[in-house]
Amino acid sequence: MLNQYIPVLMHLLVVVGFATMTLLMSVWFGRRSTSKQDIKDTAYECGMIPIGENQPRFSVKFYIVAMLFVLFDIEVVFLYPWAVVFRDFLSADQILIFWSILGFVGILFVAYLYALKKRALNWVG
Amino acid sequence: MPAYILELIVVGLGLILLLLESFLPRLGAKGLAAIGSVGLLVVLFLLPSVTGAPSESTGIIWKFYSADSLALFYKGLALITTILVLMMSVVYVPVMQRYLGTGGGVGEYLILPVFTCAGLMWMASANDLTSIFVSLEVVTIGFYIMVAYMRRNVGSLEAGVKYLILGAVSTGFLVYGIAFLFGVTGQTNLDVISTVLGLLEGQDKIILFSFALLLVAFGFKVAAVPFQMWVPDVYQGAPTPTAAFLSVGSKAAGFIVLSRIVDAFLGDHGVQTGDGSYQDQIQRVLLVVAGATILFGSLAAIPQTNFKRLMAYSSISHAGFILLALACAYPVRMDMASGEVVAFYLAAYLPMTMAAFFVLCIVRSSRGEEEISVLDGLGKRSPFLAFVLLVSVMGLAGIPLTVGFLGKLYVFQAALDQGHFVLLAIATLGAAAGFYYYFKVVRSMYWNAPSDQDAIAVGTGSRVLLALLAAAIIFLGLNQGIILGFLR
Amino acid sequence: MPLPLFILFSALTLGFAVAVIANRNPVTAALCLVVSFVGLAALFIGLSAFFIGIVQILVYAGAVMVLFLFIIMLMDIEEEERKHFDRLRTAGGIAVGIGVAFLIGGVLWDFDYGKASLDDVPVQFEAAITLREADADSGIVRSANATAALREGRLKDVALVGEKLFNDYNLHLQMIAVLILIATIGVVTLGKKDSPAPDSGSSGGDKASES
Repeated sequence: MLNQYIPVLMHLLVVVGFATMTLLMSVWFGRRSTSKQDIKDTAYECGMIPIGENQPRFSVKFYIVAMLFVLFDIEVVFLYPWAVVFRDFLSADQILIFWSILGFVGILFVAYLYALKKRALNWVG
Repeated sequence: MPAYILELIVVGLGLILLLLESFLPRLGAKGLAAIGSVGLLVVLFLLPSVTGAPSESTGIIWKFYSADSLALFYKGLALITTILVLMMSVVYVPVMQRYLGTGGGVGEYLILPVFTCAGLMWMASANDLTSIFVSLEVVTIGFYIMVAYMRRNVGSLEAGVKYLILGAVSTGFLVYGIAFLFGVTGQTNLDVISTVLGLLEGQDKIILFSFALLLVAFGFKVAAVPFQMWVPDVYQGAPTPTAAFLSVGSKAAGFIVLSRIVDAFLGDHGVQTGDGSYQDQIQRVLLVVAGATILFGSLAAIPQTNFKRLMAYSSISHAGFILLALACAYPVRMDMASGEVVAFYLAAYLPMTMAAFFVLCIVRSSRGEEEISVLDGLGKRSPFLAFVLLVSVMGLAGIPLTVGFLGKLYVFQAALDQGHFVLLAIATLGAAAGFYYYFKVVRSMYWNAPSDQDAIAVGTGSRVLLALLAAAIIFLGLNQGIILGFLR
Repeated sequence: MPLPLFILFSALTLGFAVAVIANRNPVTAALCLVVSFVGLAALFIGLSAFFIGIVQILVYAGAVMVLFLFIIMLMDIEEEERKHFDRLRTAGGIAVGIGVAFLIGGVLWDFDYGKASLDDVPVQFEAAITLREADADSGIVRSANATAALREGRLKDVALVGEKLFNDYNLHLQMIAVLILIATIGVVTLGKKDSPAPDSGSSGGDKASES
């Protein structure tokens, strides 16, 4: 049954192979000098000598957005099976599924409104 | 009206409050607390009119949710506790604002208890391992936030981190225990589990193991030794209303679930026989934990100088008494089931603890300290506050004519009926130690010279509530039938 | 699932899991973990556990990794220095590893299914179909599509999860909504920066893009 995925796999191999080959070829044909040269090995910073750390620290704001993303991601996890069975339930005249998802999404919509109003998603200010 | 409508209303109330807080910020803490407590009062009045499961089970919900009299009783406790916590928070707001920084508002602090209350009510009704787990998480996550709410206060943050980490560990134990219990029985509903456990043979070890894991998890929630280490630090660091909420609401919910689980494990196993069955061993474990909890809580409370730490250790010792009642699952002579003794004790514990924390909130907001010495001369400066605290402390110590006495009396009676004489001796020792350390508070109020003469301002609303609480402590102590009437 | 695919995805999962602990740069390690998660998700899907596979990608590779990366960036961790290994600690680590290996080996040895191939254990489709029809008669909704798929010998796990979730566990679903709402309140109240303070923090991200 999984034979139908063989094209996908081949596609994947081609993509990965292409990227790898491109990178490798630039190394092979680029004739990089082997001697250690500090200036040449530093990152290119518009001709300036780079200052500071290579990993800038991020503001806590990113963190709040990330956590809110996780929370609403959990909501999506519940929406996925809902989307799959919704039609089945309706065809069985089971209207409850509509109210139950409405309650679920409604409560989380209030959470969203709250986060929005508290400016937790605003980047500036 | 089916019982689950109550939680629906409480959640709806919380949502409305949250929207009001975001879109109508000038409502302020007082407005939010007023709307919240009025809404919860309405729910409290609706409580007696709800119906339990219909005789022919129509809804699938009743597989996960029970509405027996015990569940309704604990729902009432949760509602009353939350209303009192909201009132207390209003008094505490000025203290809190100092530690919020400029970015945070105080509004959410008055909304979180409402949602947590819904969680507590769900816990009271949970009779399935899945609903126990989810409702417990609702409550616990609410508490994580409330404990750490004063985010510019190192103590509050420390308390929050401690509570978070230990709470997460205990949740791990809970899930592990649920997994084992499910593995043994293949069921999640506690009633069915009870039946299945009665049919199983030769699986004592794994049943005991799953019970041990569950006991660890709920030991954390109700602060039983040896899982009590978080209690003093968290009580001391958390905002005072949250400490009160933890002490009453979280503990009561933990105990209803624990007593349901113990019931499921013990089944209709008769009077303790000492035959070495797993039911017997479960009772023995509970007795040991109860004895250790009473001893530790009472003895460690003696040297405390901080009022909140004192209350923390006292709450540990009270948890020991309740566990003792739980362990006496089959009273011989008494006309009360052990679940009812537990419920009575918790109902008695509510007004006493709430009154003590309420007075502390008021004193804190005017004096900015929480040592016992801050109460010096309170009898002269604010006789009313001192009197309320006196009544509440008398109740906590278990002096006759207060409701606390009755609670302890029932526990002693149950232990006596079962012939647990060692535990009886330990409980007597704990009660005696209680007289001593609660007396420290009384001595500080009435004997020590005041450090300053200024009377502490008490608002009219707080005054009425405190008077009501003090009256409840004495009145319920004189009429034991009232609480019992609600129970049945 | 076919053996070659299984080997490919197992190698992907394990190889990148090794890379997570072998890499000294925490960001690289975290990204290796993402690839490892994707490999694991592919294994799940290969076992027809579509729901878990999707959740693995959605939640773990997506959300949890975002959190990991942000924690790493918040904490300003430099590339880990080449460390001198504490001999006692190394020995302890190896001992724990061997212990766990023994534990897993012991369980697998005693576990009957561990000796036989999983294909030898029949899925009881007939019993499941009978049960579902009985449920459907008593008014509990059971997805017709999933039943039809069961008849053909296929397990539609997402539909099965969905019908359980939206039928039996409606109450829990609403509780979880409240839980996420409370968590949102917590994130906003505890995580928010002081508002009037000038945004010195956000310039970190801008600086990176300017240079």
